Amino acid sequence: MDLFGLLLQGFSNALSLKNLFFALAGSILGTLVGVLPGIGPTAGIAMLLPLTTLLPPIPAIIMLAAIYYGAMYGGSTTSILMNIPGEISSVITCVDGYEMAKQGRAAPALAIAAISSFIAGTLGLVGLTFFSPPLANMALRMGPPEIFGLVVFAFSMVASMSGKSLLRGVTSAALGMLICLVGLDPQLGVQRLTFGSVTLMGRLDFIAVIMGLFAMKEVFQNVGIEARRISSARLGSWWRMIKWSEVRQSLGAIFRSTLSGFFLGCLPGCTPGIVTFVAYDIEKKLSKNRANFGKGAIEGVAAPEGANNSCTSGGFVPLLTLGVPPSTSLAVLLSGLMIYGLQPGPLLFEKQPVFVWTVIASMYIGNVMLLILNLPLVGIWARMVRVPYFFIAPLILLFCFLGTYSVRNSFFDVGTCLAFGFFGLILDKLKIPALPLVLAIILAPMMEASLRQTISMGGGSLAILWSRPIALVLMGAGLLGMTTILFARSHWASAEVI
Amino acid sequence: MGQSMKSADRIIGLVMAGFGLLCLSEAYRIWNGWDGTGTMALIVAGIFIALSIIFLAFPSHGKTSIQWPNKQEWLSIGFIGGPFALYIIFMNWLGYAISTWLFLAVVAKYISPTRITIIWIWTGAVAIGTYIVFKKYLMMYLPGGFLGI
Repeated sequence: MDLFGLLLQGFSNALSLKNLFFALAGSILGTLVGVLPGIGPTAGIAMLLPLTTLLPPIPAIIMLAAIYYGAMYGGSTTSILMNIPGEISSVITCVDGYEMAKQGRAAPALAIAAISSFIAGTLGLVGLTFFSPPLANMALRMGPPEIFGLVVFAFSMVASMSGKSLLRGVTSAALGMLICLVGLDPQLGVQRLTFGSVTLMGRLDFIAVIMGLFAMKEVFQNVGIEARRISSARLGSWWRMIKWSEVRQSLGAIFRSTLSGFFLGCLPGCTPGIVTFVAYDIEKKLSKNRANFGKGAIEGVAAPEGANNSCTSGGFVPLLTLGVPPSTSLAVLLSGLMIYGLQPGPLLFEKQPVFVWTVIASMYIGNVMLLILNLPLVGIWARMVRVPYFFIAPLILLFCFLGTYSVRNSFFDVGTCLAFGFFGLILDKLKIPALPLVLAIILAPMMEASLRQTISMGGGSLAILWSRPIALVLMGAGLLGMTTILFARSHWASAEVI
Repeated sequence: MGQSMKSADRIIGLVMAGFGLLCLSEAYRIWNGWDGTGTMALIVAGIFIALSIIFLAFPSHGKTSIQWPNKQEWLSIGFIGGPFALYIIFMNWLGYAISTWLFLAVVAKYISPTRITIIWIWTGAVAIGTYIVFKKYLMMYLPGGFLGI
């Protein structure tokens, strides 16, 4: 049977009442998991995995996959409304999303997040359907030197995320790298910067750091100082909340972020967190509206949300074709597959075509369900910004507690969140941007692992990089991008700060 | 009137130098080859030391100044951060539901002009609501306290 025949058969199976019910249940649960700060897709799938063992394999995996991409859909809600990034992949959405909410444009921000997620998620699935085998081969060619090149390329984004001062941006990134040093070395288990503390051996929890830097700092800054509401703009019906011109303005960003998100999502180790930063950075460089980025640009919401969701589809390429989970969430999903005796890999498409194509078809349907579920909710969520801030602020603090505590049941993590709230305030006063710090937190562990593996492969030297064209091209592109920004800055920037 | 950027940069430079030396000593302590544990610490140390030299040798000379929080802002930070710290400390003893209720009420009373009765009602509702969602439905571990709930 050809590809279309298999896909059609998948749709006919996925459209059965039972499978539709589990796709819907997974989508609703996933959206809830995404909206509740701290309970990311990994924890969500892990918590609900035991429940799905009661089901037959196809509905169980349909439900788990729906939880995964549903969580990616819902993750933007608290980022936009409260500046609470429930997970690393939602951090960059805070930047323009929360600014839009403060300007009374929470509804367009939420709506474009849903639309962008739908388009990117669906196009990502088209990629998964038609290009899985060649993409899986491409992913296999990405060894440690290439991953190191990719990380160097991604680090060049510090330049565009530094605001007025590159020096302060690099300072922020260095602080992020310092945070990643704390704890046990991931490869050899040697203690680093733990000062003998058993608690510090478990590393600083990144979610606690990020929630502190964004949400906690926001409360410190706004209580008693800022307006009594995040925004007091009047809101109409949800279908009138976003203009066609705004959707049109975002289309370029959505398609570009879909491409970058999907291809990067195929690479092992390339998590949605990295992908959202890359998509935002590309958009910031290419958009006609680039001056507005960081001040409430709608493309600044569309791009990371699109990348996030196409990365979700891209992640299924190495998972299904090679049995390699590119992120922790998909690793948990892989364990779900293995519970049922399904061994992902090159033979899965041949041996289990009904299973594979039914799950893929159900993902198309799940995306439509999520759009239908999420768009009407936009109006309800958007009204939250009109609630007086003295109601919102204690809730933000409570979500900070629940979000950080839920990860490891550790009060130390909650204390870390509080400390980083204060630290974020100090950084703000010193005009040091927080985004490069977050970027470094995402990239540094990947950089360390790939660098050490590359040196091992090269027998103690980095000279091996010269024989790896993909790595060289990526590193060259990173250096070129950084130089371009520095050159442009020397023309544009005022001499206020270095 | 805030602190000048120049003096702020010098302080940042000294802090960077401190971090650089810390990472350098750690890299030396755990060094076991270029593909070993100390490599990343050495790289980070190098970045911090380079930053400290730039901040100390070439501090900003612009007219902008660093605006540290004023007295009112410090009070706000204290009234939010203090109860939050106490909330974490006493949660094991009081349990999630009660400590959350008290914490939310204290913070809401500080920042809100609303009547205390309304504050008690809505903070109680939030504490019970989140308790039901997170503990009962999502089966998240939350301290029970002396009442064991």
